[in-house]
Amino acid sequence: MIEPNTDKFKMQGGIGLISNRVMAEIPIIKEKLSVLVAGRLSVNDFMFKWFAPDYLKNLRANFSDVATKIYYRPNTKNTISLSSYLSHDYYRVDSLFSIENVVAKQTSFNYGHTNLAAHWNHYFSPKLNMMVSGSLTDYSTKTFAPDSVNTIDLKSSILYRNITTSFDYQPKENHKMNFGITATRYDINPGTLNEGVISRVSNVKIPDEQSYELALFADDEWTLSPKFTLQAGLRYSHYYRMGAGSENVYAPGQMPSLNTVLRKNTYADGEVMASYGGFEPRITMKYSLAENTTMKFGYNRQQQFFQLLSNNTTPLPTSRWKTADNFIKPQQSDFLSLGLFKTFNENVFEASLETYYRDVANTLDFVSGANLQLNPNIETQLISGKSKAYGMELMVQKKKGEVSGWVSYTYARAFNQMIGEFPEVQAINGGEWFATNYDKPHTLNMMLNIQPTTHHSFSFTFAYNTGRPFSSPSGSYEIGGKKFPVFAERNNDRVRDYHRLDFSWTINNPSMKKQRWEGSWVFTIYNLYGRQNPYSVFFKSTKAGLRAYELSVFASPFISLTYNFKFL
Amino acid sequence: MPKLYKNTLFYTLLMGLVAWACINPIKDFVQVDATSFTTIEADISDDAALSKVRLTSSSNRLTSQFSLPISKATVYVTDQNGVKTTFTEGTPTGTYYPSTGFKGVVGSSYKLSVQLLTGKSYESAVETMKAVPEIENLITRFEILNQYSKVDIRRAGFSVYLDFKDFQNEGDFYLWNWKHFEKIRLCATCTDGGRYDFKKLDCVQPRFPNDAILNYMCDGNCWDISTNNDLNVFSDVLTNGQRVVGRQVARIPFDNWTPYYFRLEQRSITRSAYAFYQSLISQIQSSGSLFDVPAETRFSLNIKSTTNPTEKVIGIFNVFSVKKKIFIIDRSKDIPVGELPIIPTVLGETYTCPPGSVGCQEKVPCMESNTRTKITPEGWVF
Repeated sequence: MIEPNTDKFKMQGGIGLISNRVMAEIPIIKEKLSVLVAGRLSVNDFMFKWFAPDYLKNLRANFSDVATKIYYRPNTKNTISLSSYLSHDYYRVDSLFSIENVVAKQTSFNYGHTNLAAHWNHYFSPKLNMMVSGSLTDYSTKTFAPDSVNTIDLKSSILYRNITTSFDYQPKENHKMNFGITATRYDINPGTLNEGVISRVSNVKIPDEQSYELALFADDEWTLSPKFTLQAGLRYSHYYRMGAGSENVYAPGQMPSLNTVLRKNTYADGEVMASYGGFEPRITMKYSLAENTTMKFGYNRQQQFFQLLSNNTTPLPTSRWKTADNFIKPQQSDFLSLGLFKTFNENVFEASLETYYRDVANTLDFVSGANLQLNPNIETQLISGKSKAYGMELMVQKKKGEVSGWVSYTYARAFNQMIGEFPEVQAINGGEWFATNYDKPHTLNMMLNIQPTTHHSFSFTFAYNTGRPFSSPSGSYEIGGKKFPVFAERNNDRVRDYHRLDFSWTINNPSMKKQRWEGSWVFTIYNLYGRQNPYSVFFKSTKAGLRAYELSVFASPFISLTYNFKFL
Repeated sequence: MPKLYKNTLFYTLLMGLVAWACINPIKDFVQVDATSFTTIEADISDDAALSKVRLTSSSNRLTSQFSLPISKATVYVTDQNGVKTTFTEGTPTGTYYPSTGFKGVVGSSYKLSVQLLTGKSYESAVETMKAVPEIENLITRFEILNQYSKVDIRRAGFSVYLDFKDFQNEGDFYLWNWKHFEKIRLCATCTDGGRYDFKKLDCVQPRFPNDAILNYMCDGNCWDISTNNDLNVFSDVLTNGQRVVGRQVARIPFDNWTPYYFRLEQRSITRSAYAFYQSLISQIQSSGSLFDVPAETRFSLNIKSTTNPTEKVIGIFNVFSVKKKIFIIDRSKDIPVGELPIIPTVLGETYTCPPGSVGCQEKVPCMESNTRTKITPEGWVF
């Protein structure tokens, strides 16, 4: 969030078809204390009644959020800021997705963030300053169906608390250092069903998970010569999964399942259940090959102790999060990049070529037919594997002039290999590498902006990418007189390629008068030529056998008008 | 931490889905892979009429109408006492039936063995038949689904809800099927100027088709059979030991005022069968949204090849007990004023022999099939 202006009141915002927003910067004590308030609101879900297809007419969806920041500079050596962010989202569906094995006709979802943060910067000298920050974030979700006898009320939450102290030290003009210490506590409520609710549906509680992540870090940036800059950093991070809790012990040599549980190990409050640690090095090198030509090389390693478990094509905001434990190892990724950057014609044109390679260990996927919801033995549903991604990106930009824009082409691949200790069940595609849902080899994006005068501009944006992978059947079989497709391999085919052209026309300050209040209108047409880009392919049984169908999202041109304003 | 952009992306997709989404059939869909698998659908029930084993080779084409039956296999079931029951092939081919009188017993365990002429053999896991509670109550409510237009048959209809009491022990799994019998008067309709051929027992088209439609009366009692199109399964994991109230089992069209014959079957299935049917539901019934789970066939859940352990086998060894109940649903009660049934109109003329003609036939036989029978349904009272 930006620092609010301490000198002058400013306000800006926009009113549109989908959402409305406003932001104000309010100085309270000149040059010392100011407040920022920003909010967004969308209550336009009545449009669903008019435009939605039959099966979605009863859908409701809206969101709102408010952000505030108080910025205080008591003297030239100290600054303090306090910020908050609150969001609330709501949607309701008939039967698009609901809780399995619960009798309910309609399901509603609520989810929201509460974030509070405080920062204190202290300047010891022009060469040394310290920053202390603390933050608390609560992310809560609620899924409910207020049916009279089969009421469900499923709650989950993540509480994140962090404190960090870091120092910036600049002994010389060409040498900067940053070092510090950080501690994070995660508390997860993976799912509580019907706590304190009178219903025929049971009360189920998946045990809470709590963990700490402690880290030390140091980073050094040194301009060794006018041509060469080196930045190197090292972070050591240690993770503790803490009690109270319990964990299944499975029969040795057998796949974790409900049939192979030997006993449960229980851990007292504050006892360490599992721990992992490791170094996360990073290095960046920048070398000027010639005037206006730079080469960059980067490498970094990252560990992630906290993963989203979602088996859906689009992860739901109510999907389950899971911290690492004795069964689920932290995800670790190594990322290498190499790039060449060049500017021409006094920085009017810029061209870049970047390549990258990422290798990820302990990626998660799911056994066939996995059940993730309210499952206390989630490890029985998971397969741990590897991922790799690599690619190349070429970009040319024209940054100035009446006509500006850019063209970028990316070749990118992403693969997973999923084979567990028990390949007969814990293997996808026989343990061979397969394309992930995000593997789209060719991407071409273009933007053209024409600004004949300062009062208005036109822009066109074109996007193209190879269609995403989907699982295509190998044939069909019959059960109970009904036909079903045989899916023998994951992601063995692709949906049609995606392409789309958008247009926007911006009229700045229509009154053309110089004043503090300045408005602008933005007229946009999304998907100008109405291409029905496929989002997914699925199969349904018909009288003539099985038939393939495509689902397209944003399948026709969408016109919108937004009024933006500034009060400066 | 989960960031807001995920929610914004989700919301944007939701908006896109709602306002500007569409579903189109793919006319020229090309399969990238074509493979056939042995398919075993084995039912052992405490209802003698429902125990059978169907062996087929799955079709390697999506558009194929039929799977290839596997004939002349050796099929038997062994119970926990080692008693073997052999299943012999009947009609249609590839379907094997136990000797008369065989029916499963609640509490008994069964294992299936299959040997094909090719030398391949298969065995199932041991499955135990669980008891099934009685169907206690069926509630029918006239409900209007306003999202459909007035001329859409899906708009007005009767939702059928079921109540039953789950047993005390956790781990009960249920499946429901229903059948509706509708007595019919017309047994054949020949379109495009066609006439019924009483030797071929089918309509024969003229050389120059026209718009004429001829209907033929049945030569005796005949009923059309309709069944549930969707799979409906349930686990007591969240409602163990409770009375399960308001489980929707059917939606009946308001296409007439007449009473509606409805035969409901409640099955108690095993955990494996539940997992198998759930996977079928996610493939066919729960697909086509933004939130699909990966389409995957659950191979070899409780049937494995003993000759080639890596062979993928499709199907299920389904051991279940069953309770049935017949309901006659009154479609003339509690209908709001102004609501009228959408009665299908019979197009064309009913064929009658010309006066004085000799040897002319005007009534056609009722052909037995999955969707038609001349056998009076159990409990038929009309």
